[in-house]
Amino acid sequence: MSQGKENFADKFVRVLKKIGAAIKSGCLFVIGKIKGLFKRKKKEEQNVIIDPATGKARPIAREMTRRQYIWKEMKKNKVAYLMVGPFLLLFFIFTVLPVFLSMILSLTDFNMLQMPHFKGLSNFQRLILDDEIFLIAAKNTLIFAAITGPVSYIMSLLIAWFINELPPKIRAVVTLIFYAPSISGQLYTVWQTLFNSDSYGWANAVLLKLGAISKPILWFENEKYVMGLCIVVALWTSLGTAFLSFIAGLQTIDRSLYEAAAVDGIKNRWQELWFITLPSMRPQLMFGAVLSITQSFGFGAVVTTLCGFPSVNYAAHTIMHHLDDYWGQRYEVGYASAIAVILFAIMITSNMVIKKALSKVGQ
Amino acid sequence: MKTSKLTRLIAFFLAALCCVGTIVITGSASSPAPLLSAAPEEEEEANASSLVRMMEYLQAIPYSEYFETYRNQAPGSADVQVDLSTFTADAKASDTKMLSAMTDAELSELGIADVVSAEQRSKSVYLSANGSVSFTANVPTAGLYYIAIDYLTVNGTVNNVERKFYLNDSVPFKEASSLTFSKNWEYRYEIGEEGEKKFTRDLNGNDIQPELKQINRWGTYVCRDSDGYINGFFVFYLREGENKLTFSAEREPVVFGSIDLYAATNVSHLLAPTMAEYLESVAQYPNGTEMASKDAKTVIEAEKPDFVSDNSVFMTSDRSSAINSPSSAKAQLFNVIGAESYNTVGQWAAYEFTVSEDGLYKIAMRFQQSALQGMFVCRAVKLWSENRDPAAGVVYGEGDGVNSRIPTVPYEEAYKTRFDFSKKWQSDFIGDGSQDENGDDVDFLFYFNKDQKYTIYFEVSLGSLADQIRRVEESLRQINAAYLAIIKMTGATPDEYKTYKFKENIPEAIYALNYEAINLANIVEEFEELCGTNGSHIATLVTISNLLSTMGIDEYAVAKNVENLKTYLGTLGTWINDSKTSSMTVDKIVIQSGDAKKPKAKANVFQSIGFEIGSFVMSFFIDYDNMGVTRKESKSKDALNVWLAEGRDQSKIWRSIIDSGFTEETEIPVSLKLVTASTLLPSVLAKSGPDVYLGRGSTDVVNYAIRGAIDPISDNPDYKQAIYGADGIPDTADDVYSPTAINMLTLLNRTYGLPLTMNFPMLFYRLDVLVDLGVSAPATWDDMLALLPVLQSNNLAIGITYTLALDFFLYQNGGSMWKYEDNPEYAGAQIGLDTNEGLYAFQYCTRLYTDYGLQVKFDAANRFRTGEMPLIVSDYVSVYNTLTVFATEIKGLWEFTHIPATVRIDGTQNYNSIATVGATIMLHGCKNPAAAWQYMKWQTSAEVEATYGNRMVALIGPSAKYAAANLGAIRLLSWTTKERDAIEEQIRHLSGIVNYPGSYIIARYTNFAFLDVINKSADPIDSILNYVPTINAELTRKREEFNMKTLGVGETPPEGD
Repeated sequence: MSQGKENFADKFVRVLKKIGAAIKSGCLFVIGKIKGLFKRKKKEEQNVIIDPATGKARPIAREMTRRQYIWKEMKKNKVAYLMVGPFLLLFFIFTVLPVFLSMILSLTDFNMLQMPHFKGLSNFQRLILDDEIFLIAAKNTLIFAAITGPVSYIMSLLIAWFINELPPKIRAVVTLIFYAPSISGQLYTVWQTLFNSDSYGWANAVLLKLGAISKPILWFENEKYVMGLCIVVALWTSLGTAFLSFIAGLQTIDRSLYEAAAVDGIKNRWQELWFITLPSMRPQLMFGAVLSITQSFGFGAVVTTLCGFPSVNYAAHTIMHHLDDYWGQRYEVGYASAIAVILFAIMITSNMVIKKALSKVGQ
Repeated sequence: MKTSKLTRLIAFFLAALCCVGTIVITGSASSPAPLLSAAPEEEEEANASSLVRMMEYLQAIPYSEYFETYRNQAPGSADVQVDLSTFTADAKASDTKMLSAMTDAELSELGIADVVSAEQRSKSVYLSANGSVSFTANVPTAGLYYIAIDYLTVNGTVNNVERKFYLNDSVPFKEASSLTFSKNWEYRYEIGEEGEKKFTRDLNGNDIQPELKQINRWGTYVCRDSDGYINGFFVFYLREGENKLTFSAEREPVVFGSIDLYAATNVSHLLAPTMAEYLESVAQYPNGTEMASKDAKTVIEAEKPDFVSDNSVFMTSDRSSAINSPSSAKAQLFNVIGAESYNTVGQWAAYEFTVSEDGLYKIAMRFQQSALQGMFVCRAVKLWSENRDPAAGVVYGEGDGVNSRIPTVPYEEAYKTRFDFSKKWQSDFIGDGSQDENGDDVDFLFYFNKDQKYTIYFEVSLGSLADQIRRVEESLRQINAAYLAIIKMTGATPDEYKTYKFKENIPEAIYALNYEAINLANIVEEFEELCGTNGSHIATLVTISNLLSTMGIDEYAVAKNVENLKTYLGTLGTWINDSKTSSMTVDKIVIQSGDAKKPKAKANVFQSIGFEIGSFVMSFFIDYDNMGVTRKESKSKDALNVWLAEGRDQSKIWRSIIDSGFTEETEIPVSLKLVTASTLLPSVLAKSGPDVYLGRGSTDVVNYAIRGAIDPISDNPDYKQAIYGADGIPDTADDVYSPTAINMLTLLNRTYGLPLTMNFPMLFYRLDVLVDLGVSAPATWDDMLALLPVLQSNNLAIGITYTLALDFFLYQNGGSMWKYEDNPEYAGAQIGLDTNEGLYAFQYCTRLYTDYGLQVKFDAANRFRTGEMPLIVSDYVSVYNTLTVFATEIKGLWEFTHIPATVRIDGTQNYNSIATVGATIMLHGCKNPAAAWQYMKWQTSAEVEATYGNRMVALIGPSAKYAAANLGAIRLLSWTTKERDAIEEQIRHLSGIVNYPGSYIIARYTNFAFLDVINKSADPIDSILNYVPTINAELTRKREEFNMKTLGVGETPPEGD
């Protein structure tokens, strides 16, 4: 028994040694390579001339084109590029490439299963001139974005501001409470229970009991209520990442700035907010704004869950829905890509507008 | 500073508000059945009144009452044998006949040619699975009798035989309405080198469930309670002279060999001796008073039963303990039997064994009983010995061993073999839980002869708990009645502050509350005495008893607690259900001397840690894709690539059927992959799709087909025979599938798949509610509308969604969703809703909701359960499965039938339902189309579909019914005779809505039109006509995309095209 154990121990040590040796040789190899790289670099730098004035060697001050300069800078920072490389690759394959692909596909009649044919701008032509439902969708999307975007943004900011005043422990708890709706994923289905069209849906049950209505209201199947309800739900779920980043931003502000401002004659909290707080957290504001915009333009899943697809008479049909409709139901990927391209353009534009607006903060 | 405080205050207030808000919302989100708490009045009323109805419906009295009535009658004077040859059968049971009138071929088809002797053949009668058969018994003197039936099971479906018994044309008592005759099933194991039983293993070393075969054998059935409440047998009071005994078929054909009426005293041979008597009687055998030696030990692995009572008793793999034998960290090895698969009263598993020495033995078991806290479960231990000669050794059981084997308990204590609760694994000698004067447990002793073959049966029974559980059930009935009386006075939501004077007005109800409070408290005490502890399971009864006594004593507490009482009634029902399922898991059974050590119960710490770590590590290496693959070639690249998107259970069943069936027969290897449904589209796009895909919905089939992703099957030369039977003509008796199903997979005269599943809505109704209202299930829509006011005045409703209603009215009136359906070129070019039939159907349909006040949205299953919606129309298999598992308390109180009919102008009735189809498709680019076609035909054939469906039921339970599309398969699935008749009747009356390109647009716009009518009170005709041009435009646009013929506004297809 003990013999066997010793054997095992021996084996174990041997294996460890082997592994150690392997790692060592691997490291040496890598270090060698890196050294090689630097060596070559040195060689390049050895391109020197002797300065006739001082008699000392100095590098040739060649005239570089802009491209050459960039290339040189890139070479200098190649370790940084190496590190960012994997992410960049994935980001390119899964985010940038699809954007370009969809731009190309928007010019075809791709149907998911067969070879696409080139169709020129006919998809865009039909979309803008001959698609009534797209106009409804665009209208709805703009309404959504115009209401939920700014409102949720301002709400996030104000609440973050309030919460920031609380003592740290309570602040943590309260932050969690406000953040909860957005991390709890599908929790918005609770609204479905609340406004269920069944006579046992909560709102219906209460109204029936009070005698306010005699028949259950089809909340999510009635044009009158659909849009309003969806906006409410959207606001409820929108206190998300932006809100968190605002809190973080508020906490990083240098306290001494306020003191300095007080000396300089800040009169009230509003001035403090406008001249000190907001400008100091401009990066967070930008981040939150970008999020709000993408969120409010890409709003769709919640509506589908609550109102079904499509919503009654397209009352809450957004561009996202329109895209889904053509992509998932009609298999017209070319046309869907055209919609996506337009949505993309709208988002980019509004982002730029926001950027401009934010640069005015504190001025 | 001041402002800062103010902000803080505001922030704090805001936060607190949100805190409360979130709690409320989260709390409500997690409540599973919000509608139960929503508007209680209606529901309560419905619930209450259905209780009365249930009692009226079940006019038959319970056995206890029946027994009370007749207990003082004298027992019969002599045994009576019933002459079976003078049977009378009703029209439905017309193929009932004497065995002597059947040919040998017929007998062997029933699987009983070998077990019927000439004598038995002359006096036995075959009862078909339909209708009812009556026998006449001439009873010399009136009195009490037992009824014993010698029966022989025959080949049929997986169900047990079930009969409803009528004595002189009425059901004598409730329990007699379901007599269950169990079947015998034998597991066919692989036999190892030393003759030991082995499981077949797949390529990765996982055990595969062995084949289970029905063994037809004579058995004796003495009428008894199939719920297991009443220990012992039913006594029947028979009058002098002729008595009519009628057996009405519920499930399965059977052969009766004899019916004996035993005078109720003369049943000594039906009763078992006591253990003391038994020990005396075996003393005469060699070593009959001595315990066998310590070395004589027979170990039986519980997961390998030789025989089982029904095919849902099967072995499973349990990893809760490291020393379950056998166990492996990597492979899935069967090592236990029990849990959910083996917990219903009457189910049993039997093991054959021999011992190596003469003598007395104890039986040790390693088991886990962790289901019912503080309660115990019971098994009846029965024995059968191969030796039939009392001189040669001990004899167990009755029957000659050749034609009949009837195992019996060796002594009556063995009926109540008891297994106590513990969260951990236990190991103990079996016994009835009684103790001797020293306080030691009394273990059962059994005498066995050496080298004789014995079979031991473990049958699920309620044992000594039966009486208490039955009394709780009776108590529930009394409390219901009291509850009802209170509700009648107060309405569903009583006013807490009103003085109702219950004691003056309904003294009986208040008395009943008090009485049942004490009754339940007594039962709790008895339970505690029986079980020795008071676990959480029994605590439920205490809570209810407390509530009842509060309400009984304090008059003013009654109104306050009515809601609580209603909730508790439901709890009590669930409690009874739980108590009746006696589940436990058994690892091994050891027949050994009482002096030898019992098997180890628990693994030690090191074993457990080792096992857990091993399992965790191995979980990275298990090949889940190839679970159950027994053939190497199935993993090869040439194998036919088949995908399905279902659960792992389903995939495993298919795997085993394919390996043992298709590949065995044809030598074509098949690789089966479990995928998610959404994988298909990208895989087809990437040209890495499967050859065959199982169960794609007809919408997708058409979508894929029109884009060239699916190959049509109608190009195969034997295609007509494959779908329409040998004659190749639709609408004949030998159709393999419903022509409707085929039609839904056909586009431009080409068929793109074989139907695998077919589902369609049927009408489900609550018998009890309808009986109470004195109405029958409506046969036509006119009946339905006439019934509506009756229902509505009782706060009841009908549940039907408007899409279904619209389709029914449209197709039953001879309309169609599409125009020009008889012209394949133009079918689907225009919507048919603007025809006369279409407009009529839409208008009629909307009127149901506007004028007749039907609900647009509702939770059908929940409302059907409470009885609020005693009639619902929905897909038959889904509703059936839901109700079976979700609403056990209304078991037997609902049925289903065909959709109500539309009476057409010419007087004919049409009750077509609307089918939905899932198809097996062959993807374009399939490597071996011939093999794929052969596979598809095999896959959707009657036997294969039925095998699959029945195995699903066996594995998952009666709630896993399968909606097979093959018409032959439906006959072989485990539906009751009545259910099958209804399903087949509906299948003969089916319509299907074909999906043409662009059909997605129809549901959308009809929905808009409908909602316009409901929400804005728009005119139905206007609103639908409003959308027709939009729909047609989209259809045209979509058809142009595929270069199909289109029709402009007002155009009709050219003549003679």
